[in-house]
Amino acid sequence: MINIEFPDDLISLSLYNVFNSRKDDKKFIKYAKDWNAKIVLHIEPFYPVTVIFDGSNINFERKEYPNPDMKVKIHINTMLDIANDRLNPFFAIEEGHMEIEGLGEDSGKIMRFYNIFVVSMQMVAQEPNVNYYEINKNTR
Amino acid sequence: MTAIKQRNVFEKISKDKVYSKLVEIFGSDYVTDKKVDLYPYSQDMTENKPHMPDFVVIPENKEQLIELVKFCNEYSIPIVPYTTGNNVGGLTIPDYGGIVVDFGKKMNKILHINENMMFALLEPGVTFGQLKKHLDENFPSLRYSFPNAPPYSGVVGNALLSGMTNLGAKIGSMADSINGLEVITFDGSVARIGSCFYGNEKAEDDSWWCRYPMPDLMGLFVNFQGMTGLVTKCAVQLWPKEPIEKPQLVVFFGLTDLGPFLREVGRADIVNDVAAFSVEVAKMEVGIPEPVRYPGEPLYTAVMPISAKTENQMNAKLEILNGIIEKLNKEGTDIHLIDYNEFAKLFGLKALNIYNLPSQILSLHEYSGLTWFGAYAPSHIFEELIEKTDELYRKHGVPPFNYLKIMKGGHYGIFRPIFRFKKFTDQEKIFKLLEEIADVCIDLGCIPYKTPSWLTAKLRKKINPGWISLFEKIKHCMDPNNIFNPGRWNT
Amino acid sequence: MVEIDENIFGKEVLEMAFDRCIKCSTCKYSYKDFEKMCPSGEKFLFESYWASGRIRIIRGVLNGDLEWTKDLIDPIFACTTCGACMDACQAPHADYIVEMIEALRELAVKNIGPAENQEFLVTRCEDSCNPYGDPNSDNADLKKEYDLPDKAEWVYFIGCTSNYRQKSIRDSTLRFLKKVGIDFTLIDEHCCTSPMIRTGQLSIVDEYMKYNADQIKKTGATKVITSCAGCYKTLAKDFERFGTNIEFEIYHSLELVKNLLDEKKIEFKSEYNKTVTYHDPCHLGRHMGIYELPRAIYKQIPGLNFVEMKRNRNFAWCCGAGGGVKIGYPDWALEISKERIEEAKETGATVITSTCPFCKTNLFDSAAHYNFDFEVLDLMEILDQIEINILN
Repeated sequence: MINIEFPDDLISLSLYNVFNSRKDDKKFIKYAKDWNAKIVLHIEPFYPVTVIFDGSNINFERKEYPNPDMKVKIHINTMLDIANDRLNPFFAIEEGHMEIEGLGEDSGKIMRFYNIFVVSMQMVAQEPNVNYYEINKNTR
Repeated sequence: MTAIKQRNVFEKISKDKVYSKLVEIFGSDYVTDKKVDLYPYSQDMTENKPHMPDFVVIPENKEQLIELVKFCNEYSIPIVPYTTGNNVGGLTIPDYGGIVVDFGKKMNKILHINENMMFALLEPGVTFGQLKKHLDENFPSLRYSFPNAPPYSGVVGNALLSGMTNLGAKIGSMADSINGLEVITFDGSVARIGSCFYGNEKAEDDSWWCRYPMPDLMGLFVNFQGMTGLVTKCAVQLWPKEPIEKPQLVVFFGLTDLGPFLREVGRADIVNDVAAFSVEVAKMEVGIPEPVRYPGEPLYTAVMPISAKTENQMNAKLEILNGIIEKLNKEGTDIHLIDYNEFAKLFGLKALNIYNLPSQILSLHEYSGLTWFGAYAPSHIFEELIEKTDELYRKHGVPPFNYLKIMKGGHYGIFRPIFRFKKFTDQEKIFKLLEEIADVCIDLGCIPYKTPSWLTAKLRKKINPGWISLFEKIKHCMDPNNIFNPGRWNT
Repeated sequence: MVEIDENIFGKEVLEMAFDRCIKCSTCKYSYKDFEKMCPSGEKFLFESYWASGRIRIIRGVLNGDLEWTKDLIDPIFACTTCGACMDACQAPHADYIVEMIEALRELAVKNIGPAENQEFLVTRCEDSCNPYGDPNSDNADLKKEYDLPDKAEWVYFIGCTSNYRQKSIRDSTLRFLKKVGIDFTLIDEHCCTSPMIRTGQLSIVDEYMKYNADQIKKTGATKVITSCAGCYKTLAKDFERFGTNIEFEIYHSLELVKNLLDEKKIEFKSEYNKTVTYHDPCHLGRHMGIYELPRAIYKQIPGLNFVEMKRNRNFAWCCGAGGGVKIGYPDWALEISKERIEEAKETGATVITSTCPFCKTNLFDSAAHYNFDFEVLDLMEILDQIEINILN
């Protein structure tokens, strides 16, 4: 299991929701655990957050860490397009709709980023059940 | 300890005799004078002072109520109508004791739906959840609307008190959606108001189709908080349910960006409703228990239900909406549009609670108290209202929980600072803030609705004497012995 | 804020009544479906008979607005504690509403006593260790009959209703456990104390819980199985809540059945050609979150035509027996059950089944009282009627 900090700002909370749905998912754990990286995600028009992968933990900081391992800038509507399969993420990078720094040639990093962020968002966005009460019976 | 204010009613007639009469009218199972049963009716969620009723009755039909009214008028016994007690104004607290009439438990039938002329004929106890369920199951092409309130809130009460719902931008105050009423006046006579007014006996079910064009007696019962008679039936307009729905979320990064947006969108006639919240409310709604606004977060968000008959019509509406935002942003605002369903999936499905019934803002129900300064507001002062109340919130160390709407095609707005609080620890602090906000907003021209008596006392100082005089004449004419919810509007 | 006696077990939840609940009335109807689901509110109607009204009564008795008179008995005790209000409520205190009502009852018992006849639940236990007042069975005879050891991996906790009233459920379960080769034994049981907790009569709760825990410990068992939803909830949740530490896992019999089916250790061979509808016991469903397991079992029984009642799972209408209502308000208990049976009739079912002997008791009593032609059977009784193959 991955432990995800419950944040109190909007953007971190959205990431929490996305990751939390997969915290027991073996594939997610495989990519997220022990990544030990700091990823800055700037979802425009909102503010940048840094997602900190530390062992089995994921934490959030409401700021842009200096010298992160990766930095991603994307507009919220572009992110929703990717999440809802209206836009291919690699095409988005190519066309400049998603700016990524620090990806390099490291295929491991690419795979982690893709599986943790993109796949998770797609899974959450395309989940057909929107009944909050059914999905979250143990929460209020 | 709840206070007991009496009007010496029980010097004219003993409580025992009143009890016997009530049992005769309603049956012993539907009358109570037990303190334990009266107690929940003596108070509500707001800051308004509790007061015990003397009796609670649960009526089943109009005939019982006619007898009740005649009896109470003879002995000047107060009658206070109650459906669910969910009004945020203390309006069902019996300030002078008397008899609380609980319509919610048995006089809650949906009497008739006319699909052609699109109206629903209801008893006063019908709730939003009940009406929506009935329409979804039996008349899927029609809709009513619902407020950001629990599904167990009364439709008729909401309409009679100028409540608003998720059709606010389209139709405005729900009072405007009333086609007809059946009322019992102080002497026990029954009047039908609206197009149903033909005929001596019961009106035909299909006759409740319009409020006009006869002299408009409806106004004698709208916003009178039950002071002029007992409403026993109400016909409300229904609307066609459009098949395409694409709710939108708008985020505002400038404190006063919301004002111009609401004014432009209102008059554009493209959305069903705009429910704008300070971001603290939005954060509460997605699960952050004690929300704080952080730098970089939007200051306000607005949820806008948009529906259309066809995809082309929807696309055209969205094009206009995008155009409005683009124009405003060129003029210096910082406003962004996001698909609401998609946003909710990523940011928290709980956010969908606002959009669809049950459409409560759940976080506002967390504690034991809820109150507001809920007001109709001229839309040109939105910016000033936001700025001035923001200062007051900061002064009192309370997160700004503001709620705004634009109504009826942009003709007027709603401004509603709303507070949740722990009744037994925080009430004094919240009331101080509430009062200061009320003073500022009233000075700027806001007019509160569902107004509690402490607030109507403030309004009276500002209202022109001619209105006060006319109001009191009407009240006296309609209720010479002041039996109908006495104390409201300081009568 | 008021001071609450430190000796009141439910002190913490009583304090919640002051900081929570705006009486939004969401507790009155099932959330989203907006169906009737509160038996006491629907019967007595006044606000005091709904969850939010009871929370106000808590405030009133603690802050002195309400004096302890006999008038308070009905609003406090005429409630089956079915938990439908907990399911509907969307506020943070939702999960504690039934505990708040139980705590209010604890206060009431100290001041005015419980509802009529409910005191017998305790006085009969003082003589016989069970609320029925039947001569206590230490289950030694049953151990002999079924050739059970003194020590085993499992203890079958029969529960008073199965042991003294619904013996067919007990016997069906015993036969099943033997058939499938479970290493189990029985103990000398005292009442699990569920009836006492639900009616606020806590005087024997501590003693009985410790006694039962000790008896189980003596067998060396690490697992306890019961076929009673009330015992299940009490053992699984209330023992720890009341400070009795347990070192064993708790299972309802249907969990064992489901496990055996999933692990392909048993299969249902013969057919049960009837139309069956399932009543969700409140203590298993709303209180413990178990809805799908029983359904999965019924659907694997060959020939069984499974149909759902309109109000099912967390929206299920209570059978009417719980919360001390069966003994305190017997006529009303039957009325509540009648509504459930009428709902079952609408499905076309001829059998209404459940996984709680107390539900079975009240549904059966109601069917008989109102002349409904209905079979009322527990899951274990249905399984007892069909052939089961042991696979490995």
